[in-house]
Amino acid sequence: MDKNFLVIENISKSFGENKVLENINLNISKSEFFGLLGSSGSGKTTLLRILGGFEKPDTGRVILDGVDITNLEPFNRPLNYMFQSYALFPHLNVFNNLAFGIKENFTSKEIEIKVKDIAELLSIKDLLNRKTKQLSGGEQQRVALGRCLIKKPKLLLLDEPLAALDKKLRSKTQLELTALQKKLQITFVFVTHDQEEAMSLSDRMAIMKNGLILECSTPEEIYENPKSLYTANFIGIANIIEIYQKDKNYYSDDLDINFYLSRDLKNTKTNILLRPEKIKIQSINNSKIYPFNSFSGEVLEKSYLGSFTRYEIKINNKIISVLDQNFNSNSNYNFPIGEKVMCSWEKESIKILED
Amino acid sequence: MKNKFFEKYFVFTPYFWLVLFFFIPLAIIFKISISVSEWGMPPYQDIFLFDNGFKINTTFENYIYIFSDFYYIGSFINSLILALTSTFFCLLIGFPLAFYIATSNIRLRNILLVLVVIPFWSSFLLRVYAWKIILQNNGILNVILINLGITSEPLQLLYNQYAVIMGIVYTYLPLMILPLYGYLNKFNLNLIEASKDLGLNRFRTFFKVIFPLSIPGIIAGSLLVFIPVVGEFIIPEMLGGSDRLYYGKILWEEFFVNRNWPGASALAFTGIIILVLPIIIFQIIYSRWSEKNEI
Amino acid sequence: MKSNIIKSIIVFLGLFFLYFPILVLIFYSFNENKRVMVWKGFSLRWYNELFKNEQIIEAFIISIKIAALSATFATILGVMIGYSLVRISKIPFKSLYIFLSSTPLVLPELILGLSMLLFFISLNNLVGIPSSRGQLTIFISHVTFCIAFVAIIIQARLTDFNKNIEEAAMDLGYNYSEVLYKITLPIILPSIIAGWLLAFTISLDDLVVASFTTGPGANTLPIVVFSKVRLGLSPEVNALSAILMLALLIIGIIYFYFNKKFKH
Repeated sequence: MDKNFLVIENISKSFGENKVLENINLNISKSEFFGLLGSSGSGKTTLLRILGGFEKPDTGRVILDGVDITNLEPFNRPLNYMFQSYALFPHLNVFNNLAFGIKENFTSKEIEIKVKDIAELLSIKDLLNRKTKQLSGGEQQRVALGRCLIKKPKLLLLDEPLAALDKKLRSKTQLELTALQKKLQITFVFVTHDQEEAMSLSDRMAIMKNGLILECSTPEEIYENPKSLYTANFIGIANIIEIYQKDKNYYSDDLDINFYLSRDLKNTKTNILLRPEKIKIQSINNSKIYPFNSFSGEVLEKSYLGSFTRYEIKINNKIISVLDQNFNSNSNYNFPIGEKVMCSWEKESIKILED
Repeated sequence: MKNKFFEKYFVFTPYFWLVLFFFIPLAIIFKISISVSEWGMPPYQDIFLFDNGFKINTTFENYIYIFSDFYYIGSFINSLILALTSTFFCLLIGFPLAFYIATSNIRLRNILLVLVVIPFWSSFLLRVYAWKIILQNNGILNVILINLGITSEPLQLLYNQYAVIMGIVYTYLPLMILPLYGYLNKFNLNLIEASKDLGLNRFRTFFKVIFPLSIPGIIAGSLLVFIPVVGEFIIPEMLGGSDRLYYGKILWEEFFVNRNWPGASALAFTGIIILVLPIIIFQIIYSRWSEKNEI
Repeated sequence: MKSNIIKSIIVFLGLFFLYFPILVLIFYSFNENKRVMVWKGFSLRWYNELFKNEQIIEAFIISIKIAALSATFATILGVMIGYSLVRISKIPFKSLYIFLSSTPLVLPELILGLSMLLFFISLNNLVGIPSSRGQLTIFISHVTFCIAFVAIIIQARLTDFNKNIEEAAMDLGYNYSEVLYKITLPIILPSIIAGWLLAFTISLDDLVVASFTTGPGANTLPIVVFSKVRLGLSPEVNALSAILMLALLIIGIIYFYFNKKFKH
């Protein structure tokens, strides 16, 4: 696998005074499904638009498959861009939208075959004569996708590909998009503000904030071992606890307990991350209170979510979130609000956020 | 509902005014246009006579008179050609301006838009008069042309149909730019980017995407220029010569000089039919078009 | 960035085309010479002459009076039309209503002027009023063709208007007319002012309709100016132009201020 299929090198971009991207470096492999995740204003869309050729970077280069494309016009780049608004041409029907980018280079016979093939692939064969306005959101998304894929791009850029769809359709489309990408083996780079979408689609993803890339890795790695406080909070639910060295132990004032850690700290004071599903919750009668990695608290709130229950546990001055999987079919298994419970975890579950 | 009494009041007050002062005057034009003309004051006979029982006294003589004389038809044709030419040049200058204004960043866009429309606020008559100064034999344009060595003698720039076109394009340009801007402003710029992304260069993107999608704006702007220009009276009067006679001038003279009221009314009513009809057609086409393409 | 340069050049040339004649006019208004085209030196002489010219001053006062009155009436009626077209579903013969309220926008002024004149003459023959044409007949004509311009501004504003605001007021116990006078009209006030200014300028600027409907003692400013410049140039008109252009430019800027205001 070509690890340097798409190389983004020292890209910076400002709009007037406003620095939107600062020295971005990324290497993306061939056939990779790569996500750019960030909140609005993080610079993710600007980066995607630079790859598409709609913005010129102030510094840096973009190299695709060994060719420097930084100064190429959008219409000369061997890649395609799917817009968040889909940007379907309202004066053309579905067929002509799909054929829009290949009209030049092929005979009408060939165009017809290609359009039919792509329509087959995306199951939009029945829609070819429709006006784009008559399509549902999901159908529009397929036409926008087909219009790009028909050109067999080396790289497909997707701006918030699922944002315009409703929730149910979104999860279905997520699966389809992943399957399609694996089948076609085209490199996909997409932008999203939705962490669930980023996690479920990406092979690897980059977290962006204020024009910088904070972290770049697989979704599992970023969730389990985030390097920064921002990432830990941004992805999933996070219990962040401040601890400091007290004698030979690590102690939290908020929780008033001692922690076992899997390694020693570099600093005397730091934040640790404890994911809510790593915490085991038990009835206080059945267990002993250990001096380390456990505490007793009171159930402040609970929400039953079907496959699991989310508790907010008050311990000393802090509220800790806990996700408890509902193994037991007995509904009395849940702890009522106000009950004293006992929480504990393994020391490997504690992630130290030292950067 | 008692509460909604004001609604009736809102609908009918202007309704009354417009029927009385707009619809009835138009009807009177029609009435006089089918009246028999005679010497006297007013210079036409009534269309209803009660002398020996009731009799309707109408005639199409006035229309026949107009349509059989090339003096009138020719002036109509001259005006239509003038309007077409001016509309074309307004579009040629207005489209790139409107397009670039609509695609500028928002602060610049508002400033440019105000700059384009502000001259429209200053006096129409005086803006035409300004061209009279510019195009004089010893006017600023001739001075420039002589200094550049393009001509040695001052050119006769004023009092011909080219000066008229110049004046019209100048005064009507904002009327072309505004509706065009209105449409181009709503234009999803992603469509242009999508076209480029799919491999079409600037030139082809213009003809495949930008142009077809701005057709309603082009039609709206063109009608806003075309229709009033057909009836334009002041600009040919100030800048034009005797080389061409236009509809407005003929109508004016038929009424004020020849005192042929029925003839002038027939000319006016023909003008209404020729000019108002395209609006109705345009509205039908446009409402169908926008039903199909929601932009 | 080649396209950016082309863009700037086009925009610059366009603006130059629009402003050059106005600047030429203002420039020559400071010419000392009576022969407009021959530059003799900077002077305010013609501004002086202008303010001593009673005919122009009188025409100016008449024009302002007619413009202010007809703008006010046209605004009231135009607001009613704009409101009716957007908010009132039951309008008898709605297509006639739309036709009547929008056609004056495009109908050549000449035809409009002729129809008004023939109407006033017929009315006079029939019932004896108006006994002679003058400021009143110009006023009525101006109101009639300014209504459409106000209506279109108000219509556009009300179409953008979030109807929930009105519904919220009704939910809180306001009846229809209270909603109209206490909620809707105050919110669209900037557009109403913009409409008034537009109508005022159109009336002030009109030559053709006024020429048809004028009578003794009702020479408006455009009529006087036109008689002076129809056949030649007039240094006094140059000075008048400079002043009027400036005044109208200021009105234009105020108009933009009010018309844009609601968008932010």
